[in-house]
Amino acid sequence: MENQNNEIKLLIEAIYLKYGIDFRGYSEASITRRILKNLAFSGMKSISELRSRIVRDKASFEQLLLDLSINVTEMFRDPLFYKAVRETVVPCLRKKSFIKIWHAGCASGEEVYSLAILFHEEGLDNRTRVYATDFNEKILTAAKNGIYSLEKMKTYTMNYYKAGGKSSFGDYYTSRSNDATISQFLKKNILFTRHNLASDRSFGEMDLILCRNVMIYFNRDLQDSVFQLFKESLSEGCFLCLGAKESLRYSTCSDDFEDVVPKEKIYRKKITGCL
Amino acid sequence: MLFNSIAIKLTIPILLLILCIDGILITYTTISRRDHLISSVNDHILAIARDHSGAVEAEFEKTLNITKTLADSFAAVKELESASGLGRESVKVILNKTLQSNPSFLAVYTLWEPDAFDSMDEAFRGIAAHDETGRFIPCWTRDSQGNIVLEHARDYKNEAKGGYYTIPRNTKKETVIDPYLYTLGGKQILMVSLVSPVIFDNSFYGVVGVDLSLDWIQNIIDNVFIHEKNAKFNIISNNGILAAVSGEPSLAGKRFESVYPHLKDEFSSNNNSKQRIGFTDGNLVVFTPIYIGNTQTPWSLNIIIPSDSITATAFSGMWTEIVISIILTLISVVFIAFFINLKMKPLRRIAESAEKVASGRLVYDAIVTEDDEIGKVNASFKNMVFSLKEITSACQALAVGDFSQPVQLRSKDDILGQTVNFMVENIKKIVKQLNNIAKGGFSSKFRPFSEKDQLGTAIAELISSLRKMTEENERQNIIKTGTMELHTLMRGEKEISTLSDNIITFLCRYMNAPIGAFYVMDEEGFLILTGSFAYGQQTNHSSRFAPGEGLTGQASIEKQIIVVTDVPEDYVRIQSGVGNAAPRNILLCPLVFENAVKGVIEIGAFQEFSDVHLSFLSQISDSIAIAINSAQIRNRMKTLLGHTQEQADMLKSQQEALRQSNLDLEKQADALKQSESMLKEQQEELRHTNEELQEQAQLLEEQKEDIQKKHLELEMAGKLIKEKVDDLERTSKYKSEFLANMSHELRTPLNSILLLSRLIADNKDGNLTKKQVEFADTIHASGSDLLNLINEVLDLSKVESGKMELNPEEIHLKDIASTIKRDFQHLSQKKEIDFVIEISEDLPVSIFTDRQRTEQIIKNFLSNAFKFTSCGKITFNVSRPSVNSFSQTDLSRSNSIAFSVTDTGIGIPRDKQQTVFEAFKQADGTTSRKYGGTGLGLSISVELAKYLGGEIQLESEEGKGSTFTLILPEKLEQPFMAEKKKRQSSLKNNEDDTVNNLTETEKSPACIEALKDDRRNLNHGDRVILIVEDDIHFAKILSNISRSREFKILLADNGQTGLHFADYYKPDAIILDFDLPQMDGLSVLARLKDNKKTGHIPVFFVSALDRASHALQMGAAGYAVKPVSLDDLEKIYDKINLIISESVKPIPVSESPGEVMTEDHSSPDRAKNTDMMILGKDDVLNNKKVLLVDDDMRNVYATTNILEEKGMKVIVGKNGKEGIERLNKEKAIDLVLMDIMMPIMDGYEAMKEIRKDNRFAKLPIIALTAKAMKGDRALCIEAGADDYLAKPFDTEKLLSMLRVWLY
Repeated sequence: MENQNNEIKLLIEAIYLKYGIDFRGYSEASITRRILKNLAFSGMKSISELRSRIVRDKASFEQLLLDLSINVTEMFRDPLFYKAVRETVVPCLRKKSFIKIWHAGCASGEEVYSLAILFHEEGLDNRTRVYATDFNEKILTAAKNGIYSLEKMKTYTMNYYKAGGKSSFGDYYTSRSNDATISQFLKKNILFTRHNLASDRSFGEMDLILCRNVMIYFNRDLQDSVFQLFKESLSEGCFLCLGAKESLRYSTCSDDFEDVVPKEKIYRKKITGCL
Repeated sequence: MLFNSIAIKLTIPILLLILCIDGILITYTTISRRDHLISSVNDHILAIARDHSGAVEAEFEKTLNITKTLADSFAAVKELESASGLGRESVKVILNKTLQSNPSFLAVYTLWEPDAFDSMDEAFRGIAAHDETGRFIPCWTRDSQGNIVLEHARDYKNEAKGGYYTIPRNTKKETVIDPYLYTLGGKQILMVSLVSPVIFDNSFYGVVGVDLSLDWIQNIIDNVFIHEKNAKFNIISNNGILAAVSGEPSLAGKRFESVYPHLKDEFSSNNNSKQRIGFTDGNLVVFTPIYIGNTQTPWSLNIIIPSDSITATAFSGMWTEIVISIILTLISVVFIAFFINLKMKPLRRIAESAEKVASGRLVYDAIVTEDDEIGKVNASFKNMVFSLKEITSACQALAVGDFSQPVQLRSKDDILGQTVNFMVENIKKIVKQLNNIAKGGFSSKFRPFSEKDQLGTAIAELISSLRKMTEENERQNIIKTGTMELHTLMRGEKEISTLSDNIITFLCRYMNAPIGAFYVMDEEGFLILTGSFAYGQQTNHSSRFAPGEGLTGQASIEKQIIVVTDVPEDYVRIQSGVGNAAPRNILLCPLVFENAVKGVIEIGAFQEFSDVHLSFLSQISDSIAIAINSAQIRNRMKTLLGHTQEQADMLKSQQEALRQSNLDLEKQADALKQSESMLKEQQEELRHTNEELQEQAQLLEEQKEDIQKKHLELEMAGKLIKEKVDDLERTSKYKSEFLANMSHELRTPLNSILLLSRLIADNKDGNLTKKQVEFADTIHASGSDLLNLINEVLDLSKVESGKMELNPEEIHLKDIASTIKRDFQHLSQKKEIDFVIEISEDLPVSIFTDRQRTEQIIKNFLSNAFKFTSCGKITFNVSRPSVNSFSQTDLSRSNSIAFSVTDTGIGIPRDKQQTVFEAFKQADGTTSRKYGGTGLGLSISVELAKYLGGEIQLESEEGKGSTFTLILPEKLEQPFMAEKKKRQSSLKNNEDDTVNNLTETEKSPACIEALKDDRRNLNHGDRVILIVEDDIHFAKILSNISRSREFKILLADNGQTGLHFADYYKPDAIILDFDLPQMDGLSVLARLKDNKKTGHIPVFFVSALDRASHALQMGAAGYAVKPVSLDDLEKIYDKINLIISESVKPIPVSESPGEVMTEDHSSPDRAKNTDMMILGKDDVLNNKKVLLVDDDMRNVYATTNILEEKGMKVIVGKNGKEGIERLNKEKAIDLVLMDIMMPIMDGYEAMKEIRKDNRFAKLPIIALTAKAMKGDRALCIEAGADDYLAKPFDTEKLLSMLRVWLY
C-alpha cells in the first residue's frame, strides 16, 4: 500500500518534470483511483512501467491525461456567470472595433460555444475572434466537432435560458438520433488550437480571457505563473474570468486586477497608463 | 682523454679539410657534366621536334593548298560568270579526281551558298549532290570498301557539327576543323577537315573542304627515334585534342588534359605559338607549334621525356668519384696520426713528471730526450725541481717556529730566498709586540713595518678599537640602566600627575640635577605643569605655557632638545634648607609622540649636561611621550566608557520595549496564519469533495450511458427486425386483406344470391308472375356481373401486386382455336354476326405459355368485340405479327405469335385509344351504360400480356371497327415480373409527342446569344426564371413555356455566366442543364448552394444522364431526365409556381404538408439535414406521442403531417384547456408543443397548470410563439416551458428540438 503511494508520487513527479503539468496538489485517493483505472485499461503491470511509458510515449501520456483530468464542463455552466458577462463585460467590449477572446482550457468546447452564442446574440460575432485552447489534443478535436449527447442538451437548454438567452436554443444546433451538432455558423469565428498554460507563452493581447475551473488543478507557483501570463496577454481595462471556485486574491498578480463581479469571478486588468 | 691528445687534435682538422676539398671537386664535376648532358639532349630533342613539326606542317600545308587551289579555281566561276566552262558536273569531276589521287583523303567536298554557284538552284532540286532547294553541295567520300561515292554534304546546318561551313563563312579564311573520330567500315579513323572558303571579290560563295585521315601523323611520330625509350611523342590540335600519340594510336582523339592531367597547366599556358622546353613534374617537356595555313591558333607537337633517364649517366659518374676520394682520405689520415704520436712520447713523460711536482712530490725522474726543444724543456725542469727542494726545507724549519735557519741564496736574483729570510725577521718583531699587548698595554703605540704591513696595521687598529669599545660599553650601560629603571617606573596605569612626578623625580636623580619640571600638553594646546622636582611655586613663574611661549613653548614647537648654559643668577633658584643657588644650565626636552608634542621636561643643573644624559634623554623621551599619551587616552577612554555605559543602559531598556511589542505582533501573526491555513484547508477539502462528486457523477453517467447504449442497440436491432416485418406486412396487407375480403365476404353472399335468384327465376313452383321471374333474372344477371367484376378486380390486384402465378405449358394453337370457336360460336349465332377463325400456315404447332391467361386475354378481346359489334363480322386471326415494332425489346416477328381480334364495331376514337386500357375506363363515359362491362378487362389484359412477356397493340377507327392484337413470344422464358411502368409505355403510340426529337437536333451553342432574354426589361415583382442551358433549341422551348406561364427569363449558356446571373439577378427559380461547357451542372449547383445569396433559390436539374439522386442530395428542388416530355416540364413549372406562391404568402409552417422530402425546395443546410435523415433512422422520434396544443388548424394540419411522417402520434388540443384535458385523458404523452396565443386558455396559463401537477413535472414542453413577440420567451420559460420555438418555424429545427427533448 505504501509502495503504491510512493509509486504514484513518483509518477506524478515524472509528469510534472516531463510535461510541466502538476497533479501534486490532487487528492491522493481520487488520483490513485484514476491511475489504477488507466493501468487496468492500458494493460501494463505496474505503475513504474506506466511511468517509464508515459515519459517516452506521448500518446500514452495523453490517454493518462484524459483519465486524470476531470473534463466536467457544460454549456452555459454557471448560467449566472454568463448573465454577468452579458450584462457587464459585453457593454464594455461593444465599444471595441475588434474583440479578441481567449478561452484557455476549453476542454470539449461547450463553454466556447456558449460564449459564441452569447456574442452572436449580442450582434458582436462578426467582429469577435475566439481562441479556444487546451493542452490536450484529443479533447480539442472533440471541441472542434462540437457534437454533444442529446441527454446533455436538455441541461444545456435550461442553462441557456437561465443565462438570459435571447433566442431559442434550438437555433444553435441540429440533432440526430443520438447527438446534437452545434451549428456551423457559430464555429466560424472560433480558432481551436493547442496551448499549454504550464509551458507556452502569450500569443497576443486579448480583450477577454476565460479560464474556468482550470486553476484548481494547478499548485500555487503554477497558478502565479499562469496569472502572470494572463496579465501579459490582456489589454488594459480588459477582462479575466475564472471559475466559481477559483480566485485571483492570493496570487502575486492580485494587485494588477480589480473586481468587476466578485461573485462570478470576473476581474479586470487595472489601467495604469495615463489617459 | 683521447680527444685531449695533440695527435687527435691535429688529425681531425686535417681529415675535415681533405673531405671538404673532395666534396667541392665532386659536386662541381657532376653538375658540369649534367648541364652539358642536358644541353646536348635539349638541342637534340628540339631539333627532332622542329623536324617533325615541320613534316606535319608540310603535310597539312600540302592538303590545305589543294583545298585552296580548288577554292581559287572554283572562285573563277564567279569571276567569269557563266562564261567559264566550269559547271556543276565539272566541279564534281574535279573533286572526284582530287579524292582519287590522294589516298589519305577520306572525302572531298564543296558547299555553295544558296543560288551562289550559277543561280540555277531551282533546276537542280532533288538531284544527287544537291539539297532539296537545289543548293550545290557535292561531296565525294570513300565508303567502307574504299569505293568513291557521291553524296551531298551533311550537317552544315547543324550548329554543333557545322563548323566546317560556318567558321570559314564567318572568317573568310581557310580553317582546320578539330580532329574527330569517324567510323568507316567498323574501324575508327581520326580525321580532320581542312576547309578553304571560295572568295571572290571579297564575297563568300562557299567552301571547299577535304576530310583528311590522320593515320599518316601516327606514322610520322611512330618512326621518330629518340634514344630514350620512355619518351612520349604527341601531336595536339589547336583545341587540345590528341591527333596522335607515339606507340598508342588508341589515345588519339582524346583530350590532352585527360591523358596527361599533370601537364594540364603546362599545356594550357596560352603560348603555344612558340617553341618551349622545360622541366615539369620530373619530365622534360617540349612543345613545338605546328602552323597550318594561316590559322590563328597553331597545333602542337609535344615530347615528354622523363628527366630521370637523361640525368642518370651524370649521376652514375659522381658515385665512383666519391668512393675513391673517401678511401684516399682515410689512408693519409692514418699515416699522419701515427707519425705525430711517435714524436710526442718524451713530451708526455715530462708532463707526467711536472704533474707529480705540481702535486707536491718534488721528484725528478730521468727522462731521455733528443737534443731539441723538448730536451731543453727537460733540463730546465730538472733545475727547477732542485731549487724548490731547498726553499721547502727552509720553510719547513720556519713552520716549526725555528727562525734560525736562513736560506742559502742561490744568486743575487734569488728573491725567493731573500724574502724568506726577511719574513723570518719580521715575525720575530711581531711576536715581541703581541706579548706586550697581552699584558694590557693598550696605550703603547704599535708601528707597522711599512704601509703594506697588514699584520702591523691590523694589530694597531685592534688596540685602538679595543680601547673605544671599553668606553662605549660603559656609556651604554649607564643609559640602559636608566632606561630600564624609567620604564619600570612608568609601567602600570597611573594618573598623569603621578606619572609626571615620578618621571621628573627619577630624571633629576638620574642626571644628578637639582631641579626639574614636567609639562604636559592639554587638549587646548597649552603646556601645563603637572610634576616637578625641587621646584617651588616661585613668583613670576608661570605653570602654563602656550606653544612658542618662553623656552618651554619654544621646545614644544621645535620638537628638539634645547640646552641653555650660563643661565643668569636670578633665573631660577634651587632651594634647600641650607641655602639656595641658581642652576647654571637648563635643559628643555619636548616629548613627541607620532609627531605631536605631548609635553616638555625642563631640568636645571649646576654642571653642564653630559652627552650621555642628552642621548639618554633623547632615547627615553619617546617612551615618556607614549606613557603620557597612554595615560591621556586612558583618561579619555574612561570618560567615554562612562558615556557608553549610559547609552547601553538606555538601549537595553528600549530593546526590552521593542521585544515586548514584537511579541505582541507575533502573537497576532500566528493567529492570522492559523485562520488562513484553516481557510485554505477548508477550501481544499471543498474542492476535493467537489471533484470527487463530479467524478462520481461522471462515472454514473458513463455507466448509464453504457446501459443506454446497449439498450439502444437492442432496441435498434428489434426495430430493424420490426421494420422489415412491417415492410413485408405493409406490402401484402392491403392486397391480402382485399383479396380475403373479396373472396370470402363478397363471394359467399353472392353465391347465395346467384343460387337463389336462379332458383326463383326457374319458377319451379310456377307461382311467380312473369314480371317477378324477369326480376329474378335481372338479379341473377347483375349478380353474375358482380362476380365477374370481383374476379377481375382480384386478377388485377394479383397482377399488380406481382402475385399472379403462371403455369406455362405446351399449347397447340389449334386447341386454342377450337376452344375459342366453342365458346363464341354460340354467341355469334345469337347475335347473327359472322365469326371467322384464321390460322396462318407458317406457324409452329404449339407455343409454350400459360394457357389460362392467354385464353383469358383473347376471350376478353372477343367479348369486347361481340359487345361493341352489332352487325358485320368478327375475325380471330393467329399469325406472325404484321408489324415489326414492339415495345417489348426481345420480341420480334420470327419468335412471336400474334392473336388478333378484328371487329366491325363502333371503333375507338383516336384520343380515347389510350384510356381504354386504364382501369374502370371506357372509350366513352356512356359506353358502360349501353354495353355494360366493368372496364377492367383490358387493364387486366395489358398486365397479363406483360406477364406473359408479350404486349397488346390496338388499331382502331371510329365507326369502322378495331383490331386488338395480342403478341406473345413462342416460348415464355421466365415469369415476367410486371414492371411499374406507365401504362401507355406498353402501348405503341405513334403520336407520343415529346420534345426529345428536338434535343436530338444539332446543337448550336453560339446562337444562344441570339435568343433574347428579359434581362433588359426586368421590373420589380417580376417572376424570373434563369435557364442555364447550352442547347439553343431546348433553351428556346423552355423560354416559350416560361413566357407562356408569365415568367421573365434569363438565359445563360454556361455555368459561369449562370452563376453570375444567379448572384446578380436573384431569379425565383433556376433550370439547370447537366451537360454544360467548362463547368458541369453539378459544380454549378454546388456553387449556387454554397453561396448565401443564391442558396435559397430552387434549382431544377435537367440531365441526360440519370444523376438526379445526386442532384437532389446536393439540394436540387427537382429534376427531369432527358429526353424530357412536355408533361415533365409541365410538372416542373407547376412546382415552381407552388414554391413561388408559397414564399409570397407565408404560412406559420413553411413546409407544405405531404410533400415528399427529397423533392422539396431546400436551402443548402436543409439539404444536408435531409441527407442525414436519409442516412440514419429517426429512432428517437418514432412511436413517440406528442400533444400539440394550437388553435390554428392550418398549423395543426401541417405540423401533424410532419410529425406523423416521422412515425409520431399527434394528439391535438385546440386550446389550453382542451390540451390539459387531453393530457389527462391520453396516457404516456411524451412531449407537449404549446402554442401561446389561444382562446379560452392561453399557453402560459396552460403550462402553469400542467406544471402544478406532479405527474407532469418533468414532461418536456416546447412553447411555440410568434417571432415578433420578444418578451414571450422569458415568460414562456417562467411559465414552465423547457424550450421555446418561434413561428413560423423550420421543420428541421422543430425535429432537432424534439430529438433533444424526447431522447
